[in-house]
Amino acid sequence: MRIAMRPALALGVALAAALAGAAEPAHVHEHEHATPAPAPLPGGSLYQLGVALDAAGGSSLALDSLRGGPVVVTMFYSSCTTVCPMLTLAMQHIAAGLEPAERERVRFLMVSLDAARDTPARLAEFAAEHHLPQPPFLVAHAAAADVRTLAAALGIRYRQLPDGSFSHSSLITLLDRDGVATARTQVLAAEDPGFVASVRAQLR
Amino acid sequence: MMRTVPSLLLAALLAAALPAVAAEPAADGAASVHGDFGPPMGAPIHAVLTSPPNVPPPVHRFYPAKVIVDLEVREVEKEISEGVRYTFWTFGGTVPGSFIRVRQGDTVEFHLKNHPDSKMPHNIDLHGVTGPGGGAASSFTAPGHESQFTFKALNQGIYVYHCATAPVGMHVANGMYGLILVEPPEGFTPVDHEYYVMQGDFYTVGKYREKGLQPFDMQRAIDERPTYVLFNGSEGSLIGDKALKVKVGETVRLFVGNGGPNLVSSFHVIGAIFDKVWFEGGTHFQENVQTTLIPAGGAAIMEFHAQVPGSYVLVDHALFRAFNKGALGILKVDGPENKAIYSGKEVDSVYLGDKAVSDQKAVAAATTAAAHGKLTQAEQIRAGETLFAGTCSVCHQPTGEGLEGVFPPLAKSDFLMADLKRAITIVLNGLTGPVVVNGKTFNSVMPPMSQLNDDEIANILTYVRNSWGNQDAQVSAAEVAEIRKSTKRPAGAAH
Amino acid sequence: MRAGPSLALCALLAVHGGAAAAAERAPVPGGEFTPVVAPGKDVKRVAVAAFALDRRPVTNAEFLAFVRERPAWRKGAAPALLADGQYLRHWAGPAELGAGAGPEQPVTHVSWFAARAYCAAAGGRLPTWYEWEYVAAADETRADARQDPAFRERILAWYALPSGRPLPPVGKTPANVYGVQDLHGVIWEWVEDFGGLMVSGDSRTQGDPDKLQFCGAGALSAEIRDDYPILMRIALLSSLEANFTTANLGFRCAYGAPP
Repeated sequence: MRIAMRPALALGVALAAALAGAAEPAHVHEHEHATPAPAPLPGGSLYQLGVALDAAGGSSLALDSLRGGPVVVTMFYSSCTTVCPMLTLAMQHIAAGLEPAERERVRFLMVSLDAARDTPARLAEFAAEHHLPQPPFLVAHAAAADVRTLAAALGIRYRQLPDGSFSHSSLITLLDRDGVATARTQVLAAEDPGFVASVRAQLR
Repeated sequence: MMRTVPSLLLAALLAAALPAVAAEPAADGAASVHGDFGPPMGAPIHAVLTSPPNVPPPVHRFYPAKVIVDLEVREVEKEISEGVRYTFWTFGGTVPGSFIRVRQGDTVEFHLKNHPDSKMPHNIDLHGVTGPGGGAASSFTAPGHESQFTFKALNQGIYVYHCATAPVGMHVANGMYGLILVEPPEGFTPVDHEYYVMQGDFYTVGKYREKGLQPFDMQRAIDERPTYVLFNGSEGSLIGDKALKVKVGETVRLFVGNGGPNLVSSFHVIGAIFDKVWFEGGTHFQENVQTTLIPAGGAAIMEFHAQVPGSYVLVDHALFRAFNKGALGILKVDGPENKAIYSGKEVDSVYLGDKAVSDQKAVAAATTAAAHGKLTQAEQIRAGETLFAGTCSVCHQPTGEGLEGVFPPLAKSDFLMADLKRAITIVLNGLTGPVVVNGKTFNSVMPPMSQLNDDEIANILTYVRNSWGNQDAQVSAAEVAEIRKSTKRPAGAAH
Repeated sequence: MRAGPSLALCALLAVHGGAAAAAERAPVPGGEFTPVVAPGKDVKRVAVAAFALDRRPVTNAEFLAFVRERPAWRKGAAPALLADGQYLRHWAGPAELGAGAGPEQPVTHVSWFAARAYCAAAGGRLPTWYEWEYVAAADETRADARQDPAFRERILAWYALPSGRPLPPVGKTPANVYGVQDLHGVIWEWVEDFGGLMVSGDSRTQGDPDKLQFCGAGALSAEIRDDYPILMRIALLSSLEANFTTANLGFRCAYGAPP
């Protein structure tokens, strides 16, 4: 029964994502009357966190609205000059490693650690500067408490320094369509073909 | 452990193609890494780990394998000395931790588990690992969790492993160290016994042997003032029924490590000489070594063979550590004596030093003559006179007169001359109670003089029975020996 | 909340529990101190704004009341993401303490997510690491006793005790100058930013940060290298993930605007 449901969910999410600027209710599928109630989330799913995101450009969405397709997620901040540019590049490499048809079914989520200064407007600038088309990229702001929650669940360590910059670990995580972390990479300097293969495997 | 025939054949082919100490390029053409013999072959093997002082059996394998090591960290309260308890942090429940044995070229899949009751997180740094932190970065484990990492044992040798969680000194001081042996591909020559000993220094708030549960003393550790310096984590670990046991004629290999945290060990086995010492655990050995230095965080291998029975004491030859802090263990060798190598005590003679009344030439002459079987009565009398002067004359007087009412006379003594055997017995075992000598009763105590050896007693009695009007023949050492053998010494007397 | 710290505090305290709950919270005046882990390269001091802190760790009884109202946080119900398999293992049942969990003992085998949820429900939050260290630096008479070897020895003596013994009930250790008890010698405690302690698993790599792994200053180094009790606390916290639970790890709540 779950297998029959997934294409419908994926369709629902894709439609919703394509409608730029539309407010995203927490459970998109509830508006699709033909779809039965969703399966419960697996115990390891990050969609149990209840995190709210503000996308670059201003729309709001719940993290769990991304359920239904694989999500490649990392955390960064826009004024970072050392590792974050490599992190962004790594995300782009992963995206480039997929075929266009595959790429549009994946979301590349980059959540800022800097809740105070990385407003949605600033993030929109960042996305433009770095050529990150949205979708499939999703550069987002979250409130400080939600940043802490999401980082804790992903295993990302960070702290803010007195000058406003952040010390943080760099990690890219692949979530399956139910939000469970299935692969991780810290390879930033080169491509990680193993990770790309994992993303691809999620699309089958 | 199931191996299919094809993989055995492959292993045999490869073993034939590779020299015992590999320097060939790997099969896939990549640049050779010293000690990299290629990918693991055969089914994975679960490593046999042992608790000290035991060592796992030799690897006996001619191909590199995947070896799975499961090591658990437990925080355990145990005795460090009799009546003194300490909370040790251990690998495998013991100090030192379990002994790990693999072969050069093995791929080791290491599982580090931290018991749920642990208070602290722990990790492991194995000195035999080529990789960041020796594995420490990849094995940082919270209580109730398990970490896994894999490494290839590229270098042969005997290596220390220890916990490297901050503060490292404290984790090591609490006993978190052990040894991993990476055998050379050809293995070691067989010996009769292999034993595992590891020295460590311990720092407690209480004094040496102060009873009760003793906490760790950080300041003493920083000042490098240990309370205990021990082999294998406790004072009694290698003593009594826990002594290492070997038989005469057997060969012994000791794997000796020093966990520190602070002190260097001057390792010595009293009464033994190490035939070979692989100093610092490296590839080369030194021969005929009395005492070898084992650095903190280092180890060595030594071999010797047991020839003479007895108790051989393992010590740190920085002696106050051995005798005042507990750095002492016993290796007991059982079996027949070998007098040609070690005789035991041969002569125990009174040494008067500069207090000699007369020179000891007479005694020396008698000893030499006796050794040649040509001892004359005159020589015995001269020697006996010298010995009498130093020992017996105090009570019986130089004139043999004794002391009226206290000590019986020897001069013209009917009691002395009536029975030689009785006289010998009294010299050896002493006499208490009344005796009648020359019609007078004496009731005193003569202490046993059994510390004098058979020659000395024979010489003294020959002198006494031929002086001051007494006349008799020689008394032989054999006669004295006979009485010594057939009678019992009183309590406290020498042999 | 611009009405000043004490007014804000009163407002918060009035939200939950009334006088009884308020008595259980110690007001901590703001101040500055030198933490063991420096905030930045040239910044050694940290300012801590006034806040309130539970005088004692949260007990089994208090956590039981919480899970009775929130079944999603019961033993067996909380998902693996939020609490590992040992969550509340010492309790007899999902809403039952049993003989192995004394009501007045500090609750342990709780994850960071669970602790946070409890504090949020109580109108508070977890303290930050600096807030916790600031209050824990005090003994019965001094605001900062960390340089006193006797103070350190007391704490290290707890680390020396093996874990098998049952936990003492809360509130038995002497209160420090702020009126807060049990910060030492009872349990480890969660803080909000445990993940920000940035200590690498191998303590010997300080001063050699792997620049690709850590953005910014790299792994922070401890300023006061011989404050072993604090270093060990940091080591424990940095070995954890947010859903981990251990036999010696509990928490208490803080109140007031998060710094």
